Amino acid sequence: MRTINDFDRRIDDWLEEGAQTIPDWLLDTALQQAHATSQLGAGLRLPWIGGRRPLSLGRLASVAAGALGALAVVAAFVLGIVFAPQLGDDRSTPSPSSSPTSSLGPPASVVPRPIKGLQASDVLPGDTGDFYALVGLTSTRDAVWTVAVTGDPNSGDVVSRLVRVESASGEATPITIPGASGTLSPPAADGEVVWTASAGGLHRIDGTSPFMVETFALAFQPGEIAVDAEGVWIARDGGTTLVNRVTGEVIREVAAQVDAARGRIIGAPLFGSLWACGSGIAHRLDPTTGSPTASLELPADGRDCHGPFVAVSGVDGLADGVVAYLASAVIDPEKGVIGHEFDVGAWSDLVVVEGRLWFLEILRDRPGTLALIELDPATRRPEQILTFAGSYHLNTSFESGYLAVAGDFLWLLVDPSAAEASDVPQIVRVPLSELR
Amino acid sequence: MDRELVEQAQRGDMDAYDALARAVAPRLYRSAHRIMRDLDSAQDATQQALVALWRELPRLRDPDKFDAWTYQLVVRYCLMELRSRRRRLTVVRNLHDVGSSGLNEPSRADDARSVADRDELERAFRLLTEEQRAIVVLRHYVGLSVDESAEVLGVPRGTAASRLHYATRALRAALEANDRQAAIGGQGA
Repeated sequence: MRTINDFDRRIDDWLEEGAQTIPDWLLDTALQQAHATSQLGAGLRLPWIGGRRPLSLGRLASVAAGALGALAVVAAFVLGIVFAPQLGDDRSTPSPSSSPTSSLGPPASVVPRPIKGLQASDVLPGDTGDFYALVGLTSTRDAVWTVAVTGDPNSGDVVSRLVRVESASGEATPITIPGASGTLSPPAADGEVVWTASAGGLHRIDGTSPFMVETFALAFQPGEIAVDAEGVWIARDGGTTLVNRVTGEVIREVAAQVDAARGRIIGAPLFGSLWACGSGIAHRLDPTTGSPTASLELPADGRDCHGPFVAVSGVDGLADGVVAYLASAVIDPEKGVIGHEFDVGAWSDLVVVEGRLWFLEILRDRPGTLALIELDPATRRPEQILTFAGSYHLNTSFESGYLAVAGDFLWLLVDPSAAEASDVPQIVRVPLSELR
Repeated sequence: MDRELVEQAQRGDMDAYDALARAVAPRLYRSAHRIMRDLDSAQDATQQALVALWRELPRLRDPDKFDAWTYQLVVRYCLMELRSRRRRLTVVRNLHDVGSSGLNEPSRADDARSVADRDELERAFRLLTEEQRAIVVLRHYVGLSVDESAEVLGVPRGTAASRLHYATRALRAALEANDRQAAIGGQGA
């Protein structure tokens, strides 16, 4: 029997997930900014502290003590994970500082330049519902695809639709998926086929008109999906499930045997292995059994890694590898160690375009300024910084899927701030010529 | 928190401020991230709160209330950020209509940390109003009482209790819907 306490516990458990460690740069920046700021005079005391409703200091103190105690336990646990000897024959836990390629080149003075030729697409032309979010971005040969979540103006229900945007014209076509239930997962492309999932099952969409849809029933709640030659990998609670692309039958279930940030394995195998991360540790997993074959500590910004790993290959001057979501390091997939660290800021997605590696982020020293940053493989610092006019948020809650290449454009899923003329999430395209 | 350290910082001692900021920054950041659900926005709110901590500290009347006051600062900047994004949060009211009955319905989905739970909670939480988000985090994550949460938010206790009630109901409704979906799936399997 469900009880109110059980619901509260589930909410409490969910809230426990999230950032645990404040980035050093953030604290340093705040302190520097404070040092350059004058204190207010003491003449006007803040009104709320006047004590009309006295705060229970004993209670607060015990809460604070409890929180600090819990933090200490968590910290000890995390440190235990990080520094404890790892199991497995070829596992290793090198610290980033001991990585042979961890030294970065000197910071270069790169002058940001504004992007020209930026064009936005109206994702849901004529739609009058309340816009909530765009979720994920993927590409087929001539189009990019996203999921638009809106509110039905009549019923008030949340409506989730797959949207195809023609790369040449920018024209958007919303596609209703029969059998879909609840919110669609971020789409994943496989040649000219697009996949998404919902509580109603796994949905296969022919990427060319008339966009035939086929739905395969699933016996579990699907999470993120990814496709490779073996099949469709569907992240689920406790691991991932591989499904046949033609029949929809389950080929294999792989259990997560490591601490995975969201309790599931997200993504298809990269360089022959599945990958997962949690508590700042990246794990290379056997794609058949799910057992870890290597574990390594990520750089500090990898503490909050929670999304899929991304393969980085074909970058001029940079060895191939995988990147854990939000972490500033390329992992050598064979050795299972950090191959390169880099410093381009706090990024939310990356893409390789014509042999160059680009990151999407909000500039650290210019709040609200969205930028594409090209990595200099030699110094592993920014080579080019291209900025977008206006002010933006950077959402890292949904797993990657903010960048895709289709046609002659790099497509981006962006989130303008409320100060802009249009503050709803948008898809914009940048001519690839701008990136050369 | 060390009262003497707070008083030193109030008098302009930068070293004392640094020590205070380093001590409180992690919990402010963690709280901000729970409210904002977005690292970038949480970083902005935390940074602004830490700077405000220095700037406004001389006006803190009772140094013993320093800890609660720091939560007020970070919540203030989280709410400012969220309000600037209000347009994207308008769907929230829809989820409130799901209803709160059936709390005792049996379900197969007993794993409190299930992926479906997290996804449903994430969606439902993002659709809460900014004030509701704040009080859910203060109550369920920070561990403050309703009275203490009201103090931090600067609202009457009744208002805080009402906000918490509606927010919790929305989150529970999301979980119930998820449980029902799991039960239906289980019957069909």
